[in-house]
Amino acid sequence: MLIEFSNVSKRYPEGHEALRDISFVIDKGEMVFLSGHSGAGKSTLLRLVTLIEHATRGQVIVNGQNLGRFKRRNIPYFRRQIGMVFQDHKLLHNLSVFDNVALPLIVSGFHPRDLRRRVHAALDKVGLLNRDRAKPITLSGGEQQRVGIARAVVNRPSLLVADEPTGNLDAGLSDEIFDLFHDFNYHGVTVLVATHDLRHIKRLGKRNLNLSEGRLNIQAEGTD
Amino acid sequence: MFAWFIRHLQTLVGSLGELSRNPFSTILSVSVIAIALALPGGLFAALENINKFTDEFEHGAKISLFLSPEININEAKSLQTKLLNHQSIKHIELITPEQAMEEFKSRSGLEDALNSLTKNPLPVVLLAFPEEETARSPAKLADLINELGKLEQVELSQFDLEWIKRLTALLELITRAVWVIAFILGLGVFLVIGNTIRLAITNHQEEIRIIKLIGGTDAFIRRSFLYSGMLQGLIGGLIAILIIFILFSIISTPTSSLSSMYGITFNLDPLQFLPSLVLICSGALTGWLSARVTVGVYLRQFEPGKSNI
Ligand SMILES: Nc1ncnc2c1ncn2[C@@H]1O[C@H](COP(=O)(O)OP(=O)(O)O)[C@@H](O)[C@H]1O
Ligand SMILES: [Mg+2]
Repeated sequence: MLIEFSNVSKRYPEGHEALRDISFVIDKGEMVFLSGHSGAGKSTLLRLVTLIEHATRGQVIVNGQNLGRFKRRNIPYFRRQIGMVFQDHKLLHNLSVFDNVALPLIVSGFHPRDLRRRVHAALDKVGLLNRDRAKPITLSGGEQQRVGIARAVVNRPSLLVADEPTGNLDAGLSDEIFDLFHDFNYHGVTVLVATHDLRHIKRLGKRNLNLSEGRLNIQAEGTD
Repeated sequence: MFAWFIRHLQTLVGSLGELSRNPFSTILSVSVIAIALALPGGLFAALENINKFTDEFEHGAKISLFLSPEININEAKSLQTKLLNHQSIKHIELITPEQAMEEFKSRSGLEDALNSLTKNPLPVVLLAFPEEETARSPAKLADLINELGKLEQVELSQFDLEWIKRLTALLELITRAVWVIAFILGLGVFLVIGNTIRLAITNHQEEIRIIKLIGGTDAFIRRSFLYSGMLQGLIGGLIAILIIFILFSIISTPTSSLSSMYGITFNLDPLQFLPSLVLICSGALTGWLSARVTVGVYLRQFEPGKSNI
């Protein structure tokens, strides 16, 4: 398996218990939804997977690595195996679309010779090849999110994690984004997407981890 | 290696652009750095000049050996040749009683009175010019004077040491004070650069977070800040050299005319090439170190559990 949570709890310093005794397994190549109301703990769970936060109790294993005892200086190398997509895109607004997508390659010391080809391939996949010189601010919300997705996959990660990637998009654009994730999953990438939009979960027929108030509910196949 | 070089070059150009994007705060901090570096640099240059001045004086330092009255010119000459081989003596002049008398006559204005003397009462005098190393060290000089005074042909060996001792001690003290001032101001430069780097980090929090999320190492993030700190120190150092140069050219003419009134030719030297280079490099190094420490401290806030993404 790729992700394993064993009796994981997370308490924020302020004292709020965001996750309580969570256990589940996600296999390599799976696509899994993470659903629940606002405040249920979806983002917190994804933060534990991406080492933005540490679990207070329990054990988190990702890609065979126990995240409980992770050396700080190894975190960047761990994150290079994961593509992350955020609700607010988190693009660098003083850089062009091309440079934004190239950034994960640049920080990992990718050879400049092959960089162009890789960035163009990623932009092509999200249908934005012709906008590579544009500044993100000139793009629509849906296009910005697609730049975010191109950036997340440019490194060819084995795991793609998205936190409410369509939170600000209308239904048609959301469908496009989720179809993209579905397509990456079809090509072997493990995908974990948090959303409160049950429509996509039904439509794509994938497993759903439902959280409420930090606890994990029944795990359903294709339904909620 | 080439790619590595290009990447560094890009970061360097990037930091230059970053500095020029905030012209006001950049000019402010670079000016403070320049002044803080110019002060010890200028004091150092002034000290060098004083040292040069005393060196020139010590070149003329001489020990007067008044020989016993029974020593005649030939004996004095053989003593002169013997002393020339002494390792601490560079050069020896012989003054005959006749020469001394002539000089005494013309200086004292007692020509008539002195003419009436039937016998010249003045002894032969040897003027010993010590080697530079000896001249610079009051202790060695005292040893030499003592040694020469003990020669049987010498009645009196004399040199006014006290003021040289005092001057050397004073210069030593001032030199130390300049180093202390340089250290304190260096600390100031360190803090000023640290502060601008801290502000830059605050202004780029979002970018830093994103770069860390996509797998950027601390070293990668640190790099542009290190260049920025180093550039500030470097530019500050260059301006400091300029300030010192302008200051010295302003006071150079009055100094020369003042010293010429005392019959001394003395030209003020600006800061030399090597100390200038040292000043610029220490500015750049301080900037680099300061950025390194500041970034090290402030990047901790982006560790797991400390960011709200
Ligand atoms: N950085 C934080 N510090 C303290 N409490 C937090 C923090 N982030 C989230 N929480 C709390 O943890 C709970 C779960 O939040 P979150 O994981 O963001 O839920 P979701 O993404 O499902 O809306 C919420 O009650 C929220 O207020
Ligand atoms: Mg959330």
